Amino acid sequence: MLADSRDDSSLVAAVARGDAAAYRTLVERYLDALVRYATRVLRDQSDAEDTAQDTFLRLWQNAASYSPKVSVSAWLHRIAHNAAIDRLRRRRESFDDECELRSPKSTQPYELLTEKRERLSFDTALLSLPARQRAALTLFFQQGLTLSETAQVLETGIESVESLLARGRKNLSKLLGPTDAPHQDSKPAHHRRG
Amino acid sequence: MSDPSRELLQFQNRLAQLGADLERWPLAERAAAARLLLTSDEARAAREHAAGLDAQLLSAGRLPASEALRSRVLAIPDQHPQLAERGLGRQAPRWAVALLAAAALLGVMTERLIAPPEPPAAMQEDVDSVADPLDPLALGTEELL
Repeated sequence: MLADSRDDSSLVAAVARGDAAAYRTLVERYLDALVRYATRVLRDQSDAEDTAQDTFLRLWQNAASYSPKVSVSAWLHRIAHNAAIDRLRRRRESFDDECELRSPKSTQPYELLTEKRERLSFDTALLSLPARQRAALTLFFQQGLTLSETAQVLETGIESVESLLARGRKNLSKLLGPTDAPHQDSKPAHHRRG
Repeated sequence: MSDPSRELLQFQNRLAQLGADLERWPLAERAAAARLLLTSDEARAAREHAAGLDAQLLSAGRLPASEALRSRVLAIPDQHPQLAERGLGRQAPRWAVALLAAAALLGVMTERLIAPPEPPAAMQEDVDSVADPLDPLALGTEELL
């Protein structure tokens, strides 16, 4: 089957007219990314999958509400972000930048982890960060959103995103300790824009 | 004239925020960063360090969605009609407004048909005098002004 070459905005416009093939193409382009983002925010695969499903239901039912002022990627991430925040609230968790760093599977704060010189895996370290730092790092570095799009998704300013990224990277470095991982020149699966 | 140590500090701050890939930096800052990388060992070392974290960030958690989820999401168009197909959304408020307007008009006409005649002025004063003084809705207009 030939890949649909239409751009994202054209696909959303087609979805608004009831084009199920356009909808399927958007699922192929964004499902993995949205599950990954929701998993980062929620730290729970099952909740993340439900969030992604809610996001695509919103896309199918409300595609007409899309405005090309924002990219489709940022719009879908924004929908997923809001759905994830709703789930966090239902779990009585907050989406903030204040909580202390802790292992997702332990109640030990970051200071205790470092005192014990535990070496965390990268995923565990990332999931240990405060929620807003996790979200900003994932949107910018993994999902390939621009600074401006990341700010749109998080409903904040660009300076605030820059600060979240800096604190997130600094905290990750602390949690991981000296890194000996060789770096690769890899790119995110989605759009890389300046 | 630019201060090299200040340039390096600004470069390191940007690395700490945006990582080592200059393509992700604002367009206006890329040329200066590239120039600094040509001349400064410290800048190159800082970029190398940042690139290590970038690589880990890029490769973390890249698992595909489960097939069960993919099937559920792909089935949404078959199971959920779009809002326009359900005949809701934009038509509903127009109806509701028309229906409400008709009901309001009917109410006004009916009230005029069945309302008793206006009492004489003297009787109206008596009615005002027994109004509950604690009920703000019962106060005369003059008292509110």
